[in-house]
Amino acid sequence: MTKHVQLACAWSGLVALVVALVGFTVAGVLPFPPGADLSAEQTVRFYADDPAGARIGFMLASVGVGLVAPLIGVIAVQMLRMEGRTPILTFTQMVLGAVTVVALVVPTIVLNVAAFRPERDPEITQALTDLGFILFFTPVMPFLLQNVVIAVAVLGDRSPTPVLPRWVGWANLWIGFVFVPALMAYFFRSGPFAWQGVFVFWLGFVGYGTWLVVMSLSVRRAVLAQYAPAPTATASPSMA
Amino acid sequence: MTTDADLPHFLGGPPEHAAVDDLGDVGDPAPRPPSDPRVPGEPGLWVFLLGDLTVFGAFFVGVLVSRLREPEVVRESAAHLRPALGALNTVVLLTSSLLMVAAVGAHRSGRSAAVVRRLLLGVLACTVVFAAVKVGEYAHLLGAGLEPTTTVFFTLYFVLTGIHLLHLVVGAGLVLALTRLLSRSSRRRVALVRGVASYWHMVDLLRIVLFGLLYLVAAS
Repeated sequence: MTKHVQLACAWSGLVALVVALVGFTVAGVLPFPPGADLSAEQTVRFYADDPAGARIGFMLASVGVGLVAPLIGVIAVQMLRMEGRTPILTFTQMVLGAVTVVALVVPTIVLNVAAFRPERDPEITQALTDLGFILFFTPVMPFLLQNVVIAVAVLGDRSPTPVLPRWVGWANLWIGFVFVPALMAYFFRSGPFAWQGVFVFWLGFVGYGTWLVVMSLSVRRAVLAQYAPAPTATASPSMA
Repeated sequence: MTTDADLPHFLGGPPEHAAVDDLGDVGDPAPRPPSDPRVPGEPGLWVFLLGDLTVFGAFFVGVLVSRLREPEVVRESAAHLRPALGALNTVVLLTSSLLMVAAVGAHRSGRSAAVVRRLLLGVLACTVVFAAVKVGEYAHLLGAGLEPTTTVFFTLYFVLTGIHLLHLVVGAGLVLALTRLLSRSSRRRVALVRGVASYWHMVDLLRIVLFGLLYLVAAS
């Protein structure tokens, strides 16, 4: 039973990614989002051109990103196996993971609010759009710290049969770094470091998407190894 | 299905294996047979190093694209930089890499921890000089009214050198931790030393490309 719940939680990360990507595509954010350099009237047109698409898309996205939570849970369970005696990193990961889910869900709701009344004063819609996108891309710290905490736990796993392969730890450090340039979205309305720019939008999306895939698949393998019949060294997941 | 063996130790279950004792263990992989000497540090570290280099590769393409799109703006902006200061800082970082190589060599050949430590402190001294020059450059540009939002070139200049400086600060923290670890314990920690050195050389490599692109290519 526990095994199947853990596996379902691991898969939840991939489902989250697919549902959120479909949602953002339907909403018109993918492949290219409305820019920070649009006028208030142009911003209103983004929602007014396809009101149903924007609402359904952002609704789907808000549902999708919520599905990240079970993945956080199963990562924590596997981190417990690494840490053993004093699971401080496990608890820190859970706290940070919970914050990341909020940081992902709330902006999609704000964007839904922006799409809610196309007839209102354009400047209000513009302000809500600013809030939605800046809230979505710039809360870097919970994500980055979560990556670092996971990396420390994975790389600190001294077992001859580590729970997660060491490259997963290093990949987490790299993905944490990938989020840093998103902080620049506070300063620019156009160019590569605005929220629609390649180093904020694409780097952020690709970085977090990669993290969901890496963690879902590697945790799934760790769960399978945990319940494999032979509990000796041969049951370990790949050390590659 | 639930037995005590399923519980984490803090809820009454047995520990699965020895807990992480301190951060110092990070970087030393589980004992492996002597691996391929062509990969310094451990193979997984290169997931991070090559990933990082890829992102910076995208940054460098960004600089070249901006130069293609707005050649005049980029050339005029880049003319405000002082290539002599950029060259000085590049030499400072190259010197730090040389000291790092010497430190790794001294550590591998079993020299005393004090020798390794002194070389690593030299690396840190270079970092301080580099950061001081960099901050001086920033202050000079900002004083002249040239801000990150002034032109696309200054956006790239400030953000890229800023992210590079962040890498250097992280690296300095790692080197500092290394000096303390090496003098505190007698364990060899070869993988850890090589890993930090590999990271340091990557930061140095990025600096060389940044200097070439921002100070020389952009202004030409």
